Amino acid sequence: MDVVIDVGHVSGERRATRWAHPVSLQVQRGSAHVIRTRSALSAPLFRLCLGFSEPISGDVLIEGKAPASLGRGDIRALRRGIGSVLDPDGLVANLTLRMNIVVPLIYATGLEFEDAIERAESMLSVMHLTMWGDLRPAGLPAEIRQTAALARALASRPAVLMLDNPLASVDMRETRRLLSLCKMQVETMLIATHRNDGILHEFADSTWIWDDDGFRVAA
Amino acid sequence: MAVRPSSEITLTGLSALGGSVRGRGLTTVEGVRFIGSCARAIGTMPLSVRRMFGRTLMMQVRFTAVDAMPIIAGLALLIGSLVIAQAHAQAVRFGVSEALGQILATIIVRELGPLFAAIIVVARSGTAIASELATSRVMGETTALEALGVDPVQYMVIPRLAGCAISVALLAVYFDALAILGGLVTTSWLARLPPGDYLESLRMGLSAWDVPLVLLKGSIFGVGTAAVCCWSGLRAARTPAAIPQSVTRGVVIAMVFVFTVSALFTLVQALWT
Repeated sequence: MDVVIDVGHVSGERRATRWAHPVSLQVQRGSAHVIRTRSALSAPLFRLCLGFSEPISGDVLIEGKAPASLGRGDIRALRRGIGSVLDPDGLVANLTLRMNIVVPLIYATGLEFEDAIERAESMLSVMHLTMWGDLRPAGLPAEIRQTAALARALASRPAVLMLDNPLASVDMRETRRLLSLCKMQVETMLIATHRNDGILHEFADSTWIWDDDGFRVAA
Repeated sequence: MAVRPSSEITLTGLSALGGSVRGRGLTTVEGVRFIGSCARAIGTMPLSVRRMFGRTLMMQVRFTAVDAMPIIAGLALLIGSLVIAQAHAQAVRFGVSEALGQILATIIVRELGPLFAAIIVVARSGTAIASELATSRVMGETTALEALGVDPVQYMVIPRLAGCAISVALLAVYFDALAILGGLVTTSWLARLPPGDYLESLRMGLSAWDVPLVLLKGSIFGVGTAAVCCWSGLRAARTPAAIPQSVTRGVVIAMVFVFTVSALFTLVQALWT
């Protein structure tokens, strides 16, 4: 099995956070992993994996490439293959939920406007967001925003999903439904969660715990 | 009270000077990089973006040009009237009241029209652009878009550059037209100059190159203003306090840019003629 995400002995972000214990993890193609952790730890890890920052030590490899060392064109191409939800969700405030899905489809995936609208409509429908499609994210409840952010990540049909605390405000039943959807569409997933209800672990091949005592496999 | 040795004071001063020079140098490099990013974003823009680009561009032009038309109209009528009223007193003294149209052509059409249009755009749209982009950075919107493979310069900056270029160019022509109208009313009322004479005098003061020159000046002011404000917004730190800072920085640099370019244009024009 080839390794999609390979983090080896990374001790933090350069010029930012240094972790108490170095982290190593591997995500194989076709597998889903959940990290139970907190935002202060998962956010830097996701930034490293998406090439927004450099590791202090160790290596971060995505599809065999070190994101931090890639040029603008290459890093963008790499990110286009990854559907990501960061914390905070980063929905564009002056766009409707529909257009929040459409814009990345046009600018990153290169879809024509009509095709992007069509795909956004189908995503909104699948995610039960149709009634919210014309609204801007600012006044919407957190669960709707989080679901929309997931819809935006899934819309480009990525090969890998990286989700940082994706459905924190969504109830268990809906979370189960949305994760089943993710699992059907994307074969490789890395999810960081701050939830303790264990629901995400149902969908994971393995669960890790990352806290002040270090990074380890959950019992 | 302890007195610091003079050598220490000199070193502190030198280090502050060095830090300031380094900071300015880095800012300049960043600015040059940003211009490079804009050029690359235009060059690599996918075909699918064009239709989306058109919609964003129209929104930008509507906000920057159409919504600014009432304020520009009021200002242009006032400036046109005021300049003519002031010039009239001097013109009568020197017995050249028939040259009022030429004065208006020289001062307003070539200089003040594009300059005032740009100042209004800096004040209205420049602040809006810088604050919007800084907010989007603080709220993690730019990072989220980048994480999905979107080039934020392509999506957020290029439509604003094009929108502001078109808007300031059109607003400059609009300002000139209304200032001429204001001048016409004032000359008829103050100098009792027949409108035909005023327009003839204006025609003599203008050349065929004035309209393209005003459009060119306006579009350069527009591109510069939008670029500076976008750059300032996108380089905001990720704290809410950075939003007003980036707006202030953007507006100040944009103003300096507009006045410097205006002076350069006048200089080149003076040397040319």
